[in-house]
Amino acid sequence: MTRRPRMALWVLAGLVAGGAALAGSGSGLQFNPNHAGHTKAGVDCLACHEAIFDQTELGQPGPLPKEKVCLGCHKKEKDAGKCGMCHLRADKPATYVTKPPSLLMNHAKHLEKDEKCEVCHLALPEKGQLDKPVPPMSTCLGCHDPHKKQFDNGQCYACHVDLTHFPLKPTTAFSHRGNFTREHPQISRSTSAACETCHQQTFCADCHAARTRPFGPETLNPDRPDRNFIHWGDFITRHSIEARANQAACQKCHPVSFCENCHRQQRLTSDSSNPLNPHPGGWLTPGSPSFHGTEARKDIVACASCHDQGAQSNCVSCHRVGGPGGNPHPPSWLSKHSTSEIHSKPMCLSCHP
Amino acid sequence: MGARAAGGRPVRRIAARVLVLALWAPAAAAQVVEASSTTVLRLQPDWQAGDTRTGFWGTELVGLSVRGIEMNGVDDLKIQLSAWGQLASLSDPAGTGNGTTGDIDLLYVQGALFHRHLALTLGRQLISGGAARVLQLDGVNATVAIDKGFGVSAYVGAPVVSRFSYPVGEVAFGGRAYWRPSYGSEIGLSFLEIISGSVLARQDLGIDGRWVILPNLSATASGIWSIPGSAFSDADLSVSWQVLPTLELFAKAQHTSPDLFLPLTSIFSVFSNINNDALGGGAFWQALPRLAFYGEYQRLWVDSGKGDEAELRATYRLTRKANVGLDARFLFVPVNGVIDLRAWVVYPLNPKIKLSGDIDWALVQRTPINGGDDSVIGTASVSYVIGSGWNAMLSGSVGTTPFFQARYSLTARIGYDFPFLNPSAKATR
Repeated sequence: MTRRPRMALWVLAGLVAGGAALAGSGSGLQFNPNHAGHTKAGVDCLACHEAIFDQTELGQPGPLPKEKVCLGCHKKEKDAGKCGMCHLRADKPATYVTKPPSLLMNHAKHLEKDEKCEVCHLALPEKGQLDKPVPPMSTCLGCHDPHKKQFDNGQCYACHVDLTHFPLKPTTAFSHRGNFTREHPQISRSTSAACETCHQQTFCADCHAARTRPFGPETLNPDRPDRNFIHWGDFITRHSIEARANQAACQKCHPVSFCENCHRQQRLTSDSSNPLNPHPGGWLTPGSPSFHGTEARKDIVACASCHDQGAQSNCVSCHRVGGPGGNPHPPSWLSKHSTSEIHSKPMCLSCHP
Repeated sequence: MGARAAGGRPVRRIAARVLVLALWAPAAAAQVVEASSTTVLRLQPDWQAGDTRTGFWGTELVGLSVRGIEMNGVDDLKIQLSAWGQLASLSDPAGTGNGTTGDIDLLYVQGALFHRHLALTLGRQLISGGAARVLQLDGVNATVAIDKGFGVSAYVGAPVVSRFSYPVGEVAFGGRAYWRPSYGSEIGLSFLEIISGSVLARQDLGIDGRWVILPNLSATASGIWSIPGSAFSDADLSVSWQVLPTLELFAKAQHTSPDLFLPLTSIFSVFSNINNDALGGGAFWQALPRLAFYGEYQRLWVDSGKGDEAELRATYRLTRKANVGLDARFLFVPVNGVIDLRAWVVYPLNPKIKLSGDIDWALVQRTPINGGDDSVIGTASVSYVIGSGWNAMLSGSVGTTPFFQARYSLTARIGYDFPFLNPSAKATR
C-alpha cells in the first residue's frame, strides 16, 4: 500500500471512531413527557389530552397539551426557571414536532366505545427513546372484526395513508430485521402482492433492473454504508469466490454474457484478440486433476461465462459426434432425454448432424 | 426498447417528444404527480486489458410517478417511469464504442377494472413471483382476483434485452394461480415459458407458498421445476420464529441447479448436472433498544465439495438516524475463501448535513486473486439537504486491492424532487 491511501484510511478510521464518540442521543422529541411519572402520580391521560375526545382525524390540532395545561400543575417550576424539567433543550425550548399523519384514525369514535387509552397505547413516549412507540397493529386486529377482515384482504388503505410514502417497518409477519436483503427473494416469490402495498416497482428496479443498468445501488448510494447492498466494498476481488458459492445467484440478475463481455475486455477469454489463458496446466490432459471435463462438471456456468458463443462454441469442435472429445453429456442424460429430441432442437444438431 | 442512444437522431428526438406529450396529458389530470432527477458524476480508475485508466461517468436518472388519474370505471390508474442516460469517457464493456448509453428501466401504465377484480399493467415492467422470479418484460400482465382469496395472473411479452444483448428470448409468457387466505399467507402454482428464435429456451413450473402459522411463526417454501431438465432448478424452505419481540430465529435450506439457469439454447446446458445445496440458520437479537446483533451460518455443498458461510453483525443506534456497525462475513468454498470485515458509521450532524463512512477489509484465503490476498477500501461521504427539493452528496473512497495498487473514486450526486405539480393533491388511497 502506498503512503497516501494508508493515510486516508487512518483519517477514515478516525472519522468512524470520532463519529461514534461524538454521537449523542435523542429521538426528535422536544419535550420530556415523563408519562411514567404522570401515571405514577395518578394523573389521568385525559387530564392533559382532553381534546382527543373531539379528534376525528390524526393531525387535527388540540390533543397535545398547550403550555397553559402544563402550567396548571407546574407553574412553580417555570417561575423558578426550571425549563429543563419539560423542555429537552432548555437553552432553546421548542414546540412539538409535527408530521403528516400516516393513519386514518378516529380517536373520538374509539373513545365513545371505551375511554381506556391503554387498550391500544401499550407503551408511551419517554425521554431517551429512539422511536415513539405506536400501538402495535395486533391491537387493531384484536378488537375489531372489520379491521381483521380488511387485513386479511390486504385492504391496507382502509387505515394506512399511502404506504409507499409512509412505510412502516413490519416487526412480525413480514419482519425486515436481520439481513432482509438476502432473505426477501424467497418471501416475495409467494407474497409479491403484499410487498407492493409498500414498495412500488421503481423500488425493486433500483436493484433488479440489472439487465438495463450498468451500475448498482451501491454506486448511487455510497452514503448509505448501513444498507446490506450485495456488491458493497471490493466485490471485484470477491466475485469469483461468491460465484462459486452460489453460481445461480449471479445468473438471477446477470446473464452469462455479462461475465463474457467483461472478461473479454480484460483479455481473459478466448474470444479476445490477445487472450491471457486463465486455465491451469493439465487443462487438456485427461486424468489430470485440473482436466477441463472434470471442472466443467463442477461449474459449467464458469465455462459458459466465457465460451458461450452458441453453436460456434469451441466445445463443439471436439465434442461433436465422431470428434476426439467424446460424449460430453452427464451420466444421467439418456434417462431424461430421448434421441428423438435431436431433430427437434437446433442446438442438438450442432453436434448431431 | 434497449435504447442505446447514438445521439441526435431525428427519430429518437421525435419519439422522446411523443413520450413527453403522452406522459404530460395524464399528468395534468392526475391527483399526484411526482418527478425526480438525480445526476451522478463519478471519477475512478478502470482496469481494461491490463491497463489502468481513469474514467469519468456522468449519469442522469429520472423518475416519474403519475397517480390518482381519474377515469370512469378504472381504479388506481397510474403511470410509472424510471430511466437513465450515461456519458462515459471510457467505452462501455458491451462495446458500444462512444461511451454514451441509456435505457428505460420501467415504463408502464397500471389500472384496476371491475371494482378491482382485474388489474392490468402494460409496458416495461417487472414480473415477480413464482416461476418468473423477477422478469423484466415489455408486455402486458393481468391479474384477476376471483373470490375468497383465489386469483390468477397471466403475462406475455418480450423479455427485456440485456445491455449486453444476450439472447434471453423473444417471447415470454406465463402465469400464476394463487390462493391468499390471509394477508401474510399465500400459495401459488406458476408456469413460465421463454421462446428464443422459435426454440424453447426455458420452461419452468413453480410451486410456492408462505404461511403465517402464528403471528410470530411463518414458513416459506418454493420450488421451480425445469420441465426439459426434469429437475428442480431452484428450491428453498425457510422457517422464521419470533421467540420474543426482541429475538428472531430462522432456519433455511436451499437447493439450486445452476446449469438449469442456462437457457436451453446454450450448448453448455447439456454438459453437466450440478447441484448446489445450503443448510443453515441464524438469529436476530435486539439486545438493547439501541444495540442489535445478527448472526447466520450456512453449510454449503458446492463444486462436489463442502463449504461454509457465516455472517456476524452488530449495529448500535446512536440516535434515531445515526448508527455504527460492524459486519464480519466468512465464505469458504472448496477452491478458495474470503473473510470480509466492514465497519461503518452514519451520523447526521444536523437535519441537513449527514456524514457517513465505512472501511471494508477483504482477506482472501488459500488462493491469491491476481497475485494479491487482501484489499482495503475506505469511503467517506457527506450529504446535504439543500432545501426546496434539492439535495447533494459528495463521496470519496481510497484503498488498495489485488487489481489496483491504489484505488480511488470520487462521486458527486445532485438530486431534485420536483414539487407536486398539483399542490392540492391528496395522497392516493
